[in-house]
Amino acid sequence: MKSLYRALLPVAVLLLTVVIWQVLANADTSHARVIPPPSEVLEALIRTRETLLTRHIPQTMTETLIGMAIALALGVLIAALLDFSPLLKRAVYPLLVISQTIPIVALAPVLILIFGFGIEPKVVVVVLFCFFPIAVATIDGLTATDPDLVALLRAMGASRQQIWRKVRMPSALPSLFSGLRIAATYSVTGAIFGEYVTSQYGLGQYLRSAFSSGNVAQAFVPIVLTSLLSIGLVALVALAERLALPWFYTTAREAHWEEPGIY
Amino acid sequence: MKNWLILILAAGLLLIGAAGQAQAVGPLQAQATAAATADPLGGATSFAKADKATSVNVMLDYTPNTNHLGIYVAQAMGFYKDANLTVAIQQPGDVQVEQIVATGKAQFGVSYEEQATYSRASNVPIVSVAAIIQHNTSGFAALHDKHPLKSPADLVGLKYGSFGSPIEKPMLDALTRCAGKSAETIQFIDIGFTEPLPLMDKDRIDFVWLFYGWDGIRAAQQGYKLDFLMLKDYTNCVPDYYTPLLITNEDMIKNQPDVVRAFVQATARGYAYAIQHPDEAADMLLKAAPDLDPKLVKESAVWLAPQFQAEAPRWGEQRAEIWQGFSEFMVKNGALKTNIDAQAAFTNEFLPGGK
Repeated sequence: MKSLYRALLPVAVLLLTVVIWQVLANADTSHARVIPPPSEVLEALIRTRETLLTRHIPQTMTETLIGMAIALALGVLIAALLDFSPLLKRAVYPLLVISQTIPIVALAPVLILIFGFGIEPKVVVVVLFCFFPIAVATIDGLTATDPDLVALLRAMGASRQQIWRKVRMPSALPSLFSGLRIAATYSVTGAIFGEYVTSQYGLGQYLRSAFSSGNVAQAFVPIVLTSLLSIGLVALVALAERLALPWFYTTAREAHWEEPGIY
Repeated sequence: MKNWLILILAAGLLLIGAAGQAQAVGPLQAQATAAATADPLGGATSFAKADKATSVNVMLDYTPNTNHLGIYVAQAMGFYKDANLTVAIQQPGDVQVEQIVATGKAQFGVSYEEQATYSRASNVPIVSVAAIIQHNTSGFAALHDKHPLKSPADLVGLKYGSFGSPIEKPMLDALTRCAGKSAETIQFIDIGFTEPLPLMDKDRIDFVWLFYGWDGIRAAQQGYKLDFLMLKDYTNCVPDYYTPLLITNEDMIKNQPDVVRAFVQATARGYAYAIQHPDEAADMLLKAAPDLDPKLVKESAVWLAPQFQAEAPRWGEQRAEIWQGFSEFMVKNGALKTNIDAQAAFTNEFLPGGK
């Protein structure tokens, strides 16, 4: 009963927001409605559902998922490397931060020049957005490894590699998932930014096209879809975390927390 | 091939004749339909093919609209295939078309004379190979109910929604000067490419620069009553210029002229078809870009059809005076440092029917 209530609460809040949105948008009776009512957005969604389902959403999700996969591998790799060598960490960390400050608009022509018009530039943008939270969170997780556990293993004669595999990496996993959750939140938006550079299909292209036609209601469709897709991705990551780290969510630990994890 | 072309011409003439009677046409349209009996293809009956099967990219300037009819028609009707070309139409985005074409990532692109002039002035090696629309079909527009526009004098003191181009100020200066006023009191508000109509409705801006053929018709369909000051009505004050146009880079012209010729001529065939069958051309555009509003595309295609070629001897033909005049205008108004070499900026040599 308690978990049902907990699951329904955000849904109720969302519904309330939609209702308020509908009322406010309908109250704006001027000719040029800046924010379209949800009913019009839904109508635009239904009208273009075919291209959305067969072209735009698959395109954006492909870019997102491939980008996330590469970002995960890259993020973990970087975290491992920087954990391995403190010198490297001091040298490379600022570069990581700088990578996040490059405006996509400036990067756009470079991406096209290097990768051309395929899916690659969009995947690169997703990777750029997503690898950072994963890398940083994993590095923090590795750094926060319980020194007593490391000392214990060292006393038992474990090699550096064994310590890494048995203690450091597993104890960094919760942090990794934390970073992955953040990355998942931004990933779809990242794909759309990538498509804004140039794209044949995708929610970003759909948005641009609706924008150019002055079709405000249609322009809100990808915004809503992006939110839904991002929420779905975060939920997936949370599920994966639950499955991968059952030991993290033991009842003993849960008893000590105020709220058991995110869901 | 020849018979097919004659049939098209005959059908086209009949259509134009019928169209002239049937529609309540505005002055621009009537004049253009009467004059557009010249063959858009310059009398050519055979068209160039690339020496070997080639894949090319053509990058658009804006999301697909009726300015691009010829390209989509050529794609749909297999004109590019006839020319031994596989064409990929690349969507626009946060990149400059001229830059991408100059590097060769896209072999062709849709650009504007303003952009092309600036690029050439910065030594970006792009060349215009066809004028998609003969005369400027853009103008300054305001809501009739708020700010009726009868002459450029009415623009004085208004808020202008700028999209950040260096050409806006010289244009407004010249226009208002012509009407004996000054553009000093016109307030520039940068709106980028935000949808201008709601902004005008809410008085955030008073007037804006639009293409009549697309945005003008769209506004009318959405119920906005706009007053337009069409730039081509003021060619005594401001230069007429080619917008949009087809560009390629100097490298392509030097090393792959067969590909350039094949592409331009196939595209010309596409525009020739769009001129004579705007409704069917609109359908082809809609099939390729199904998210567009069919009503807008159809009405826009019909309005634009006679504008593509207008009174020129063939579609795509460019004149040096237009390039020179525009460059001189920009220099005179301080928006360009030195004149560009007009002859080097464009060429008609790849159009069907020879030089």
